[in-house]
Amino acid sequence: MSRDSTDAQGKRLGQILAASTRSFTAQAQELHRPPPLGALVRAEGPTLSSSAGVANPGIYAVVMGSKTESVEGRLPVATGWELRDGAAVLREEPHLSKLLATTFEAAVVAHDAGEGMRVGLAPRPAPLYGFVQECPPEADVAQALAASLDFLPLLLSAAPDLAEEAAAACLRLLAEGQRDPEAFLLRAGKRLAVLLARDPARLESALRRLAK
Amino acid sequence: MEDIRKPEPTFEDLGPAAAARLGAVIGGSLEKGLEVRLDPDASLEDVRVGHYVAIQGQSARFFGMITDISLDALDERLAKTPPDRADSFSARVLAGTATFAVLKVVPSLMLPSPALRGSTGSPRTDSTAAPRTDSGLQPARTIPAHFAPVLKASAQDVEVVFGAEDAKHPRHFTVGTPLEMEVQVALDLGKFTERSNGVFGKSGTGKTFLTRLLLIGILQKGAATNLVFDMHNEYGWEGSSEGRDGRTVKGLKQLFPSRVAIFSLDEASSRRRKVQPDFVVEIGYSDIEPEDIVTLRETLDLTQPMLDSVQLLARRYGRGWLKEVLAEAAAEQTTRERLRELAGGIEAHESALAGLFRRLQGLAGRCPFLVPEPRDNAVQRLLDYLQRGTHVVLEFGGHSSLEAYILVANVLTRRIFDRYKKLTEERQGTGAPRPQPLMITIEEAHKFLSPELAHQTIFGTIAREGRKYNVALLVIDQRPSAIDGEVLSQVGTKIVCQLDNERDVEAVLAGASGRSELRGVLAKLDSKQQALMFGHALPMPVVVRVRDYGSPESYKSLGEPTAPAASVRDLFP
Ligand SMILES: Nc1ncnc2c1ncn2[C@@H]1O[C@H](COP(=O)(O)OP(=O)(O)O)[C@@H](O)[C@H]1O
Ligand SMILES: [Mg+2]
Repeated sequence: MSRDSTDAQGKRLGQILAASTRSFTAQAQELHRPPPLGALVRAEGPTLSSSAGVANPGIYAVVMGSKTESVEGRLPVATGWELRDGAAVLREEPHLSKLLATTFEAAVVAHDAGEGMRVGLAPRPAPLYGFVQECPPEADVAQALAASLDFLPLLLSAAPDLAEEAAAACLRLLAEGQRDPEAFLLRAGKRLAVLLARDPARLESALRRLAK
Repeated sequence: MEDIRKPEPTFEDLGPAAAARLGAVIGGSLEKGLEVRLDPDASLEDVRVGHYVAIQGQSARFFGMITDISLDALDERLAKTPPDRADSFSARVLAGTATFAVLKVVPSLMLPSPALRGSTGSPRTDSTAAPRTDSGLQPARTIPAHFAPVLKASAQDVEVVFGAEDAKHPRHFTVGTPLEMEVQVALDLGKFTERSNGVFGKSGTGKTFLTRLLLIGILQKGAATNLVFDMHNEYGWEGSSEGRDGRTVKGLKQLFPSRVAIFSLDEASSRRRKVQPDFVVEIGYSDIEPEDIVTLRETLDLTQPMLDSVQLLARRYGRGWLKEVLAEAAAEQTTRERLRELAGGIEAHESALAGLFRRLQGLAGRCPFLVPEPRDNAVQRLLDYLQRGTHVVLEFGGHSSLEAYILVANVLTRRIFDRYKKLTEERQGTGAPRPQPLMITIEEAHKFLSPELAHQTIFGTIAREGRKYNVALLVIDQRPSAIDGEVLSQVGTKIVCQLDNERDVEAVLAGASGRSELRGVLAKLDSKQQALMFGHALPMPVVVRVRDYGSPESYKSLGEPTAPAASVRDLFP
């Protein structure tokens, strides 16, 4: 499979506004419509002539969380109390939407290297203003990650406070692309059990999330 | 099947087969055995103590047996807070991962990769190198590194270690299958018959069936000539089987009519069982020597003064001593005076003599095959047959009492051993080939080889030095702890069925390497038709399910070799 950006497997989700080696933050294309927790996304990697033969390498990341807030750096002012619900408020006062932005944060788990996708951090972070695309569970990259599960340690160390929640969510999403989702979840659970064995409380909450 | 061109499996043929992977080495030592963590997807309940595994190291393949299984957890809090239900998702996830099973594997042998064995810098080409077989097997002198994959042994592994019953191994005989495997374990009967051997196990575990198979194998492969003291008439013509509602199974003579002779001590009994004995044994009084009476000490309840009297009588009357005693005892007029006179004459105790007379008279009465003048010389006949290579089964018929068994086995074996001894020495003088090995099978062996008797009787002598004269014992016993320790240590190959007395277990395992591990294996044997085999003829210990005997199917490969008939397959290739 060729991995250049024109081969858009999934739809465009957002644009990168901050990036580090470990993670990036992107603004969602639509307000209140970030990709779900645990979703696998693809960001455009740096296009350098030396990037080992990959024209447009991708950086793959798992959504660790998202938020919607005022773009002006202060809290918005409450309004539209007479209306039925929040959606109606935004419909009545469309300019408000311009003052708000939804952003999501994603932890890097893999990247395109010369010989294909490789689990691990990319050598350089994603450039700003690059677009972020959906990377659905049926995609080759998602399949490869699901097969090896080697990205789990990286994911669990990305944001220690809720990593197991994001990891469990990610695994459930990946399971949708598997021929035998139940067997996949069992295998993934077994990997989590080893990785989180020293922390039974986190393991328990991850497994509870996987089981349902 | 027996394609001689088929090469021996080599190191390269034995690559790690993913399907058979059980786990990985995570620790341990050569001495205490390796710890092997069971893979999450391997089922604990399919793994049993006694199973046979291969470990693929960097430069050698190791072979060993599972001797223990335990449970462990990465974090003990996990193990101590079990999931709500054993079948819940959490329970299934945790099984084999955070909580897992550890197998104990004792590596016995290693097969170095050819690169290490070839001319290119092998450190072990000098004469002090480890003894090894053609295949390059060596005793395990090192252990595989961490995370070496542990595999269920394949058919080829088993063949590399034990050899197979085929044209390349003319003396190998299939004894059964390793636990849970479809392959067959062969015993090298050439090596087996080099030393004395034992089949042990409590009553009903299959000792007789196993022994019958071994005798058939020895006969079929020409590894030795058998002389069987058949106490319960189970080996010669036919034997009984408890499982098959009183059905009978074939004995040696039915399978090999031209190569087996049945000697009988009880012609009437033989004929009742429709057995045509080749020779009816009678034992002359003059064949009984004091040593034979010593073996009967316990059975006849003889005191030391009585045994002393036997010696004195023999000194006084020579070979005619028993005839003399029985004549005296039979005479009505054996008065006190006569006894005193006799006792005085040989300086024996009068009361001891009286007791001895009574007992010997009783013995003679119970053993009608004891006669003053036998019609024929049983020992000579026996030797004639044996030296022609005919295997002899001596049936006791109705005289299956211990005293008759012990007496006859002793009298005959002593003579035969003497002759083999002379024969071997003569041949050594002339440089002629040594005689074909003789394997003497005795049951209730502890009655002959107890610590009190082992140094006084012929069977103790054979156990200790029979090898020099090509004579070996096959002892069958349910109470090995009652056998003299030194004799047991001379037993080359031990085949052990279930034993439940701790002292018996201790006795058979004494001196074996990996004793404590083997004890665990022994404790897990089924109550029938399973045996742990180890010792001289086996490169490593192995547990087998003994091959079935008694069905028409089972006889197919166990008779006289017949010319292979063309099969339908051959006609329609
Ligand atoms: N290899 C075997 N094949 C078929 N049946 C067997 C085998 N071994 C044992 N058995 C069954 O177990 C019974 C007891 O075996 P046996 O050899 O008489 O035990 P033991 O001599 O140890 O008392 C036999 O009668 C037979 O039914
Ligand atoms: Mg028996």
